[in-house]
Amino acid sequence: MGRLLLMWRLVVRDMRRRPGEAVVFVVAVAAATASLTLGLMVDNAVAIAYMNTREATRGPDMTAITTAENPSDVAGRIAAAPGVGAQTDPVLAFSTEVAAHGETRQSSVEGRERAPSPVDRPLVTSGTWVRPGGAVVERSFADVLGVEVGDPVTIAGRDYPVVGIAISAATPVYPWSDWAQGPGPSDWGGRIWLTEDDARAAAGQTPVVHLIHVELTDPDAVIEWRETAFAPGTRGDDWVNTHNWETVLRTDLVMIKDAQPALVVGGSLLMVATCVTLAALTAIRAARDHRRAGRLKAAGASPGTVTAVLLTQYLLLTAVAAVLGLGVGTLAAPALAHPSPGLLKVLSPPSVSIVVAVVVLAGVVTVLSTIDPVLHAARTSTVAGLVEPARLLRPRSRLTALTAYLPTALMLGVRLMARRPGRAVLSGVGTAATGVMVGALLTFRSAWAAVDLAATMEAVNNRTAEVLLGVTVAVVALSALNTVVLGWSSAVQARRALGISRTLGATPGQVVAALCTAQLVPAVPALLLGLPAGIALYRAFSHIWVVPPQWWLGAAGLGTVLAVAALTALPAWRHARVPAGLTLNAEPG
Amino acid sequence: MRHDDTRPDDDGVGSGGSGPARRRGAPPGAGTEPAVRRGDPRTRSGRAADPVLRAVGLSRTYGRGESTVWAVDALDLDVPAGQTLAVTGPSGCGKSTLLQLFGGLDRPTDGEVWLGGRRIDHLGEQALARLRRRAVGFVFQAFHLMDELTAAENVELPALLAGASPRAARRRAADLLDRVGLTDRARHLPAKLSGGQRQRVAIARALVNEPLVVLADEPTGNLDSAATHEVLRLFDELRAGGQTLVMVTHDERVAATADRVVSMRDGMLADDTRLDDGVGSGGSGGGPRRSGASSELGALLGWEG
Amino acid sequence: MQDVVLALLAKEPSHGYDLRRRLAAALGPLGEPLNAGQVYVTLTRLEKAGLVVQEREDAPVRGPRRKVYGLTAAGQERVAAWMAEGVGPRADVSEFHLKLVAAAESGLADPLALVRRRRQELMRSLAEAQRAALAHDANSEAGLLLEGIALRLQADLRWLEACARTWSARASRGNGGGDA
Repeated sequence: MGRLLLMWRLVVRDMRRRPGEAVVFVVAVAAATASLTLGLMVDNAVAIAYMNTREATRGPDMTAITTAENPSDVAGRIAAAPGVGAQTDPVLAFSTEVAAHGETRQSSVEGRERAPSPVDRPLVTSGTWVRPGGAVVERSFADVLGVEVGDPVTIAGRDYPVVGIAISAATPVYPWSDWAQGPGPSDWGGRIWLTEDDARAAAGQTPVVHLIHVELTDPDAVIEWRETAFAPGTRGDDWVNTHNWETVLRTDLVMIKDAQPALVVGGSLLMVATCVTLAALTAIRAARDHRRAGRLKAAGASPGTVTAVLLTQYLLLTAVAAVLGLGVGTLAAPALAHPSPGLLKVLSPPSVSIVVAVVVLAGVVTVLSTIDPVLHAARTSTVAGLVEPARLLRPRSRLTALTAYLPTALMLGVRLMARRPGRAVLSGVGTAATGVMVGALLTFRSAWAAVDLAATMEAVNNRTAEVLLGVTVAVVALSALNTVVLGWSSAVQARRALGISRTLGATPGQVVAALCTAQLVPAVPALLLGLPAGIALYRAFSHIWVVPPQWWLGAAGLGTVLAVAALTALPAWRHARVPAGLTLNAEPG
Repeated sequence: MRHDDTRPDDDGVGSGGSGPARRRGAPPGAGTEPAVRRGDPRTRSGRAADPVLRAVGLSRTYGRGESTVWAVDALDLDVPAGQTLAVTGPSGCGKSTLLQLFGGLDRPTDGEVWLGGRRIDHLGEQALARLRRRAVGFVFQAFHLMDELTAAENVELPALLAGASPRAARRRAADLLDRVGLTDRARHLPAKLSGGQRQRVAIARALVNEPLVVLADEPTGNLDSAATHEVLRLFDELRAGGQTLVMVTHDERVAATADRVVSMRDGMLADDTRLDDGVGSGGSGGGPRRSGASSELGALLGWEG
Repeated sequence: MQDVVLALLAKEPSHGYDLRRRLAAALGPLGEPLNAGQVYVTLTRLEKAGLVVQEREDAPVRGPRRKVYGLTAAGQERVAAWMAEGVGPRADVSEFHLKLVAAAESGLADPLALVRRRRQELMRSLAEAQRAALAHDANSEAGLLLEGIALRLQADLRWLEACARTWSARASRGNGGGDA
């Protein structure tokens, strides 16, 4: 009890003393857990959205499409088959070009009765259901056409006012909604409903099909049902095609096919960037934690207690961050995973397994990035912990000799870096993660710029672009944070060395340049590795692949290097502003 | 002249000047120091109650081979209960190392450390931590208060670590802060306290678990003369209360407030002086020794002879 | 002065010129005012007191003849007594210094033992002063006086530390002091 109070006190007080560190920690871990949550939830969210829409619109388990003149044969055969719960009368439909606001798109036009049918009852989200002379547009299609209730659409040369917008789970969302195409390769298209009479009139000479939506008693056995009801040899002479609900779901998932790898890969890169942030933070804290550990031990704390105090602090923050990340991910998932307006938007809590996975991963990342300094602090003999950690400078005579001819700033920078190779690696890893994401984004842009895309696929690609850009922004932001934190920590740790340099005559400018050099030297090779890695990574997930133009890569690389320099200069400049004497006296950390 | 009844110096003190324990060349002057003889503390154990602290052949070296530094060199020392002992000597003589060995902050290379009748030199960190919070209170030159905890919370810290209930810890901390005269500063963070106040908080913290011994390493090293005065007065009260206290100091004026002063040179004891009129090892309380104080002072001022 | 001269003669008989040279070496710049006459006056007085006796007269190849003095039994006793007693709480630095030099030269006492004993004396005095100081307000008149006393004692103790270092270094070199 007393000990718990003590741990709580130590943890809370330290956070209150250094709220900045706690915030950086939480932001980094939350960013990574949020994107991971998103990546894991997207699949699920699409499925849930589809299932909800299916529920709300009494979506069919199977749809039969026939070109038969008289579809009642097919309807009769279906009705006779066992396991049928309900079915619609054959719905007349044809595929035609539809124009609105001067743009033309392919679409199926279905003739529906005004009364709700037993299966597939499109849910009107605005306006009303079909009436004579009025059209209802499927919502994802309406979104692409840019039409609202009251706007006119031109079908087969005649204008119909849009009287309603509706969603349905009978077909996939735009651009896969046009099922009124007969045999042969099918085209992308949308879906529009008219009254049966209007549809028949509008069809004119266009070949028509009939759709029969079927509800089965056992939706999971839809494949088996089709094998029996439409067994080879029993189909007759008429062309009959069937689509089942699983196909619809799979097609809907195509919407996020490209976005999902971006989320998963981006999430992993964010995790890497988070590790860098945490490691940099613990590096900043190392000296202070070392001292705290020594003092605690002198007051009678065992190494176990010290480890517990230090780890509790990090794990508490991780828990907060994980909850935050899960929340953000859950809230963002419907927006991201919502492949199109054609499905009902729903907010669903993450599954237990996702929560466990995210929390465990966040915990593992935290423990991995902090355990070494924590154990070091706990294990060091108390006496060593009480004295300031005086790092013995191992003489690196060759390096000293090599750098002796460099300009002062460069020489200081290279020597600083050589003193802390671990920091150089951290800084490199962080920059490399940025490079990977920037490379992937550039490849995406150049690939889609190079390929002439069907206009109908824009929706999909815009979605992918948004996600890729979002993840890149997150990774870049976290990397920027890393750069600042690393710059700050090297300024803190190099305070003494640079303070001495300054008493010996180095100008603040040279000191800033030295700190920048120490950061830039690892950043450049990291970018040289990261950018190509991003291009290669993109190839692994996409069938269309074009190497971005060299000047794009050059500009991106240069931009990143300049950003790193600028972000490092910030803490370095702050450090160099302090009079040299003060930096020598100040307590580290 | 009272100077002449100097007690013999074989009082459980030895420089390790002879015998097989020596592993180095004869130390400077070792052979010509008849006044400091090697005494075997074990022969004395029957004479008084077990000492609170005992070092037997204690050595601590740093480094290896040619560059070996003998911070503490085959040192024997007993600290009886209730004694305040000052260890003096030039910097680097090993006095701080000795204190760390006594407090289980460091482990000896060789020899034994006994604390409260229990041998502690071979204990692990975990056991040492438990021992420290129960039996030892530390006071450091740099105070080593937890910066993020208030004065009262700092005092409570060892009590809570030792498993006291929050309520009991709070009560004890309040009592001790009252004793050191800092009740009105209980809620201040160390950064808001003066050096002397910080050290008084540290002393209160060292006392919260009623330790067998308080170990103070240069307790006045960072303090001005007024704050030193405060701390020394506090120590004097502890001495009057029978608290065993070992302090390391390079300041003779601080050392002079102890019952006994040993000085160290090159890791060995060079001198051992009783300042408590030889009341005896278990002697507690400063009352009797204060009575005849003025004779020495009179001599100093030249009022005698 | 008398005691120092006696102690310097304890090891072997010597003449005034040599005694002056040894005193001057021990006192350094402080010994400059010391002239041969003062040494001879001291020797004459000691001789009158029956503590020293002229043993012979050396006739060196060049320069004046020199009277060589040695200790009498009474002189030996006086030196031993001087070595055994403390210098007193108010003794100044040069007094104790000469005693150390004399002890080392004569071999009658171990300088380190003298230092140790002196240290104990001073430590006790300091303890008294500090105890009194703790009982007084540091800002009172008495406190100020006690602080001054304590600081002087502390200075003496620090000097003793230096003595101990130097004499123990000499002891380890095995020349027991000798001429500096």
